[in-house]
Amino acid sequence: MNASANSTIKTMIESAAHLEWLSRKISKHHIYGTHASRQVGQGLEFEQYRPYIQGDDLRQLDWKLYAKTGKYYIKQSPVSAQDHLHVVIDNSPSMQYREGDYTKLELAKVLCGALHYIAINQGDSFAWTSGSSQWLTSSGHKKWQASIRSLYELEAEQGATSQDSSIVGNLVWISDLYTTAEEMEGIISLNAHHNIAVTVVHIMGRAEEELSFDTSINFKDLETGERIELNPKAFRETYQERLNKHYQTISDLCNSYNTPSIRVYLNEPIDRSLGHIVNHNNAHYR
Amino acid sequence: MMGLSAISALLGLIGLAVPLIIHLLSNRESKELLFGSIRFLDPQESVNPKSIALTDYGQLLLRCILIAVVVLLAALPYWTEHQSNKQIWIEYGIHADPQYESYLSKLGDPKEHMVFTLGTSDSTTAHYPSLWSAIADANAQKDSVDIITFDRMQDYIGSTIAVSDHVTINRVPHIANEPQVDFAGLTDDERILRMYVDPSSNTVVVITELLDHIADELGLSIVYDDENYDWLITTVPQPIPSDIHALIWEQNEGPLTIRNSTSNTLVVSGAISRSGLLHSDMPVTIGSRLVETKLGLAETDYREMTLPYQTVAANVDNSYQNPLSAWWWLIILPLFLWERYIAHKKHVG
Repeated sequence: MNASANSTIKTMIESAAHLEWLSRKISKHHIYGTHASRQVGQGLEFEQYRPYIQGDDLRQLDWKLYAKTGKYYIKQSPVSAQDHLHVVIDNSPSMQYREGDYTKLELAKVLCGALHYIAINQGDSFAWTSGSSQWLTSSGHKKWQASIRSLYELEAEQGATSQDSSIVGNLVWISDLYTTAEEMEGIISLNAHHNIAVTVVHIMGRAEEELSFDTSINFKDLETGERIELNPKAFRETYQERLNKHYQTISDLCNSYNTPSIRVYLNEPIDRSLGHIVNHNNAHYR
Repeated sequence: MMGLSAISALLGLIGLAVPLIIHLLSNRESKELLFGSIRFLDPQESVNPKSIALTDYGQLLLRCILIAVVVLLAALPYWTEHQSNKQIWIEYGIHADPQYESYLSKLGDPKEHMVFTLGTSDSTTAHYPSLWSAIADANAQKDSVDIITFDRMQDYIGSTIAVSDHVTINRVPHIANEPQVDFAGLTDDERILRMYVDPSSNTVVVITELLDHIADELGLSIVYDDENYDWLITTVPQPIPSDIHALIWEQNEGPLTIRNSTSNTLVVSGAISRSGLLHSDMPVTIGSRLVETKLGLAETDYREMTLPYQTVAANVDNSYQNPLSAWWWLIILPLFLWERYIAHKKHVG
């Protein structure tokens, strides 16, 4: 993102310590302790066979079964109880939209920090990526604090949402979903192609959703810098129709890949938003 | 018929400009909002400030009406069945002003012109038509009154008369183009007799000219016997009306007053001040000597004198003032709530 636009965005998170405190505070009610594995993968114990698909590691092929059947199967075992959680934060300029105390990016940072805190308290490994920034797999409190500092310094930038090929386990994608359908599908489809449990967290603002602004607003697009002056009251109905269509596209896409999608709002308590994500995530993959 | 007791409050209508200015300013600059994506907003639907203004006209109109009603109520409206008249009261001395006619011509066509004194002393205010009693009478009749007065009376009227809601004061300069008096070589008595000194403005009027003015106004012929030094002012054939006894000058502690001596002769003595009043039984002197004059008085000029004497304070009628005041909120409150409702509706969309 350019410097001039950056200067117009105020930050409500004053420091890394503030972000750390927020993350810790809102996550304390969602630390459940260790959990059973929900995933299958490599291991000593047999769980199931599944057909080979392109991209699978050839080392996992069961050659004996191939000898018997002539078909390629992957032998799967329950993975260890330790999960891996990977958060992908959309840090495109549109994530700087503010409603109430936080921008979408700030909310994403807090949610990411809180999920990280929950993960390390459950003994899971955690990583996050965002555009050109990333924090690779780590566990432990000291690493968490370092991750938070790095997260605090994360800024919005132009560019495509990253699709890290190293992602394994659970993936939480936090975004405002103002991306193309192809980009969305690129991440959501990881669920099917790489056996990654994807959860989409869609951040919106209530006023943004309802276009409930006063008369004569000069809207400036955070992505493109384009401007448009509108009387929101007169245009509200059409806007909401178009937005609902967009929501439907997201919903269809998520359903087609059996990917849960959670919408959280800037104006609601972050604690509640985190609760939605954690509960939804657990319920879906239990 | 509706009247306004405090017409000057209508100046508050200037306040109508306030919502108008706010309206124009608010439309000039739209608030900028950094928005996530304008992809769902259609550029073709964008509106210019003019069309925004059109949508807000109702609220603008309501705000203007609200202000207008408040101003109207501040002007103390009243209802009366009485067909009020316009009167013009003229301070006595104005008659002497060369521009007197032009003052009248500016005031349209009043019901009547009333010449009266603006006296302030007990003796002058106790008699009709003093300013006080005349205002009380006008209030009772709910007439509007234009007063023509000299500059020096303005403060007095403005500071003392509370019941001046529908009294308009027209101030005119003190008699213009007065001749300057050469006092050189005159004795004290001569000075007293020859001049009139206005204590407030220190302007000087030659007494002969002043008396000539009086004579002109009253339709009299006055002759000043300068040679005999007697200040003999003559003369008129008709008798003085029986109820008119004397001219007394407001500032009676001064050197010149006038009183009657016979049925058709007035004795002039005492002080001459700016304003005069017909009065009875006022002993006067001019300096140390008595001056007699014969004034023929035109009765119509002093018809007010046939009215009964009035005491001012007791006759001031305030009851007409602002009969709507107790009910103002019945008008203001619904308008205010309506305006707030529209504003709220606009805000929440």
